[in-house]
Amino acid sequence: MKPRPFDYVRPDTVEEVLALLAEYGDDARILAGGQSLVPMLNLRLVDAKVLIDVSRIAELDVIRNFSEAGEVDDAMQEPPPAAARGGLQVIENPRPHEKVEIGAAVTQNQLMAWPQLAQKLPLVAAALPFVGHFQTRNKGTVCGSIAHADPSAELPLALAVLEGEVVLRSKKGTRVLRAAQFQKDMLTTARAADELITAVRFSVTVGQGVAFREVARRHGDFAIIAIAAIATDKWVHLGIGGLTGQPAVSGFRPDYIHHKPDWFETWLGQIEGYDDLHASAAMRRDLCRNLAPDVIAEAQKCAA
Amino acid sequence: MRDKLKAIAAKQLNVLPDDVELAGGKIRSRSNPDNALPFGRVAATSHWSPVMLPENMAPALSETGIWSPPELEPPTSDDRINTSLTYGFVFDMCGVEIDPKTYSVRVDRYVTMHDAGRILNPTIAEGQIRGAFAQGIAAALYEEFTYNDEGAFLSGTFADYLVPTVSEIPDVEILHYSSPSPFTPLGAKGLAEGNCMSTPACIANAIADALGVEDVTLPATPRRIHALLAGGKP
Repeated sequence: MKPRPFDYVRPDTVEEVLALLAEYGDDARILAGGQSLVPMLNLRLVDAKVLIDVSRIAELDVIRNFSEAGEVDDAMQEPPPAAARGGLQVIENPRPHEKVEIGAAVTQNQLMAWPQLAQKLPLVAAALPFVGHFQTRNKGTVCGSIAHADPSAELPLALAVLEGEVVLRSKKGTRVLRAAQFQKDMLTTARAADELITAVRFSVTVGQGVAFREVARRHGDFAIIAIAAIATDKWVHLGIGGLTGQPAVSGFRPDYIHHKPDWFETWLGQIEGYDDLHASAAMRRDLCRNLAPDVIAEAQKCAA
Repeated sequence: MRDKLKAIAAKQLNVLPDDVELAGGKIRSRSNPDNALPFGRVAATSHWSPVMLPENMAPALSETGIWSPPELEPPTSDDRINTSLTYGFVFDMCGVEIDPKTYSVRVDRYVTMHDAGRILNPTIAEGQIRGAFAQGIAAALYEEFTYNDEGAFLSGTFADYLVPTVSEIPDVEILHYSSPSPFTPLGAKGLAEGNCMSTPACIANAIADALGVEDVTLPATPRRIHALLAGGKP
């Protein structure tokens, strides 16, 4: 199929993008790599009057270390929704404020080739090979995947488990949302119509154990279930993608596994799973039951 | 065919058809061999210049011949019929592993043996087997037209209708047993899409054996394996 006609604009600066978004709002779509947007336009699942191509804006083509404490503007944040956190007591991750900021024009393969990736963001390094295929990663961007908010996508899961942030800019200013606040549901985010995601920030996990596992019909297909874990000797963060509308994340102390073996069932029971062609909700839950302990154990082993 | 060519040429050579002969790549007058046309030109006349054909002659040169080998007898009274002289034979064996945690099927080893009589071109034979095997894997584990209860088509894109890629096709060991056909001049028998039919059955039997179940619906997707293991509806 072919898309409905649309206008294509390729601004050179973020300021121009923000002016266009202020003008067109919901009628505009940001085009970065187009690996999800363009097929959806072709299938006419998405309509756009204007595509704003940000892929060649130099100031967005940046991967940088970010460690300014207090950068997150708490005044503009909503409280984290309890359901997204799984209702379980969340052990705050005492990791330092050091993060890696990835601009909106950075492709998935660019990030894979970043020399510091394996050391600073080993979970992202483990998840990236599962994002589509080599060819789609050449064009697909890191921010684009997070903006698209597919419930089975790997990068939104990694961002959620790493308690990352999404930087949104509009003519009115900048706001920074935590991952759990950003992705509301399946393909639904907190981005306002006049906002551009200029960057996302993943927390650096040097000295922590990480593990990632995915079940898909074929390599590169949408995950039926994706599971990510980060662990130290004091806490574990577990995230599951593909089960419900947004990544389900839980934090717990390692002794939970021995002293409260039913914590996982309790948590899983609170998450409403979805059915699709490839898996029932019951199968997705069973996959989590089967694989989450392995992924947690691998992260803990890697931390030790 | 010859008579038709002679009739076409006679008009152009301005002689009687009985005086036309086909010789040396030419169609010419027997009594005056210098009065000649190239064979190709006469043959082409029927296609390119129907206006030059003798009156009432239909354009185009074509001839259909039918030969029935004696072994191909008519249907019997109970409607059994032999349709081919070139039956090939296929024998497949495989070992599969089912991951109880991910409900996925992995083919560990697959051996297929073909009796195609005398193999005329080994490269073509291997290509046919590999292609049919890939399609067999697709039918066994991946490709499916799926409809919901309301009749809506659910696998209408290649994101949902899963064609296996090279990564999903396991290695296949190919063996040949050559028993020449007594019915064909070179002893050759048929070989092509056999694995489209044998591979799904072979894999289904291996899965049934592994899970101790009687019946496996194909494709044996993780969803169906999960249902078989959990004893529920897929």
